[in-house]
Amino acid sequence: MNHTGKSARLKVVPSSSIEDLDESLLTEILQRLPTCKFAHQCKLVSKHWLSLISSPLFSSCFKKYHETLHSKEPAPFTVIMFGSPSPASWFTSIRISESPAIPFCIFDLNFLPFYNPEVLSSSPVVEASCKDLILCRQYLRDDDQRVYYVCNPLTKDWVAIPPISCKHKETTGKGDTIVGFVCAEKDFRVIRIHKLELLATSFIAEIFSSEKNEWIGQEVSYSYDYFFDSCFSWNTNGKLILSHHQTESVVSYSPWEPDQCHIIDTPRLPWSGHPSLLGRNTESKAFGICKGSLRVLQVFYVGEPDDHRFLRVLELEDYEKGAWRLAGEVCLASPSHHNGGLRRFLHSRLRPIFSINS
Amino acid sequence: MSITTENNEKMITLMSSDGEEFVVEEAVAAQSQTIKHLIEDGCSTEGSIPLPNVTGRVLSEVIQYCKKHSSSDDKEEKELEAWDAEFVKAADDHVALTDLMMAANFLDIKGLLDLVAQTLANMITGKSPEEVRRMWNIKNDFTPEEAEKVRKENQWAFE
Repeated sequence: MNHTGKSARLKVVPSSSIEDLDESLLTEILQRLPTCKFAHQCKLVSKHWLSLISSPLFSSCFKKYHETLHSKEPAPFTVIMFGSPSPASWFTSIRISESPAIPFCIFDLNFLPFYNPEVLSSSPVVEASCKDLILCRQYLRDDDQRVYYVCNPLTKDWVAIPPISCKHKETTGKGDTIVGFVCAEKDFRVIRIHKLELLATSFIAEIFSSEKNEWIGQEVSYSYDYFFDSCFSWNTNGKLILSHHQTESVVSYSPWEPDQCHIIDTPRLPWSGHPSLLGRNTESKAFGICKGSLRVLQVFYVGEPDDHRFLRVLELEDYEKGAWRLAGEVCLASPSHHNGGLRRFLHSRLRPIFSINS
Repeated sequence: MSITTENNEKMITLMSSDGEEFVVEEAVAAQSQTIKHLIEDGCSTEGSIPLPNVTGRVLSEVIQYCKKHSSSDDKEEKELEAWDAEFVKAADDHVALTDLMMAANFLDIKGLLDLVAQTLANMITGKSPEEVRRMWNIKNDFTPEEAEKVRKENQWAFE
């Protein structure tokens, strides 16, 4: 401060304002705002605040601070769902978080180029998500010319992926290609996986690397009962988890080691309530990532379908050895008392398409 | 020079930017990591420690905080929290909290920095951008068009 000398104490000392704080101290204050939404509202205070709050450094400080604050609570997660039946907003997506700092919000994809709500076929479709980014696909014309975008629905930034040059002919109709998306620190990869033929023991992976800005094609051999019908990113180790709803195992595939994949079997651990019934009537209902670890929800039926059912969640403890540990178990003695959504989910034979992403 | 009290507690003299001297126990002064390192490096033996970035008014508040926190142990956490809340409320009447924050940062007193930063964040919370500007005398340097652009780009935050 510039006021020194003997008279300083008698005068009213000119004091500082929040404007005199340097970036790091202002960050200290603004990262303590209760919600991310409110921090973004503060962008309107001044250009200085706008540039600070818009910076990636602030985002990471804010995230880190709130994660430490809520470290005992479940990790925030994002669920992307396709919304209302009206054509103009049929792909409205919803973000849900358990963390009070990051509120529930609704977004749409109308910021993408070629967006035209009148033409349903040109509407972007969410193919995959990873680390709060989403991968969208849009058909340009009626022919099969598709464009992929990686976008952040909150900041409305997007980047278009160049068209695929190493074109592997898609042998059959729909359902024979699945698309995945994995982000690493400086690189993201878009992965298209094609079925080769009906009983093939290999698949074709087309991988786009943002670092190299090119697509490469690779044949990968695998031994799995079915071709996959869903995938999600396991971001902690840069892998994709591929699965088919009728199998008890999943396949992990790293687009950074594109010529091999690894089958992860779900365990036949005894159920603590029924140690004699090893794994019989057990169905693996859903796979997901929780706090960086792969988890599976298993259901175990006793007696008639509606008598008793046990739910348990297992977590993959050792990737190399395929060792799982029990994360939680619950018995639903009379499921009719539980909510309808859960019951329908347990009855359905499908797994959710978008799994929980931590 | 260092003075010793009857119960053998070593005393340290701190000098503010406007020449005010404060004699405090070493344990109190060592709440500040900056001062602690100065003492460890032997900088205090030659007399008082000058603190060119901190005025007497602010330093007197900081010392109040350090005295309380050096004499309390973890068991009194609840009581200490209540004391902190009262302290920061009273300090707000005497000094600018931003000055207190800069001092806490310079002196490296993490607890005080957290306390003041949280207090300032609470003061901002729930206020509109105009109210925040008025509270801190911040100039609105956006043209109406620019403000509208920011609002549009961050529409989700204003819904």
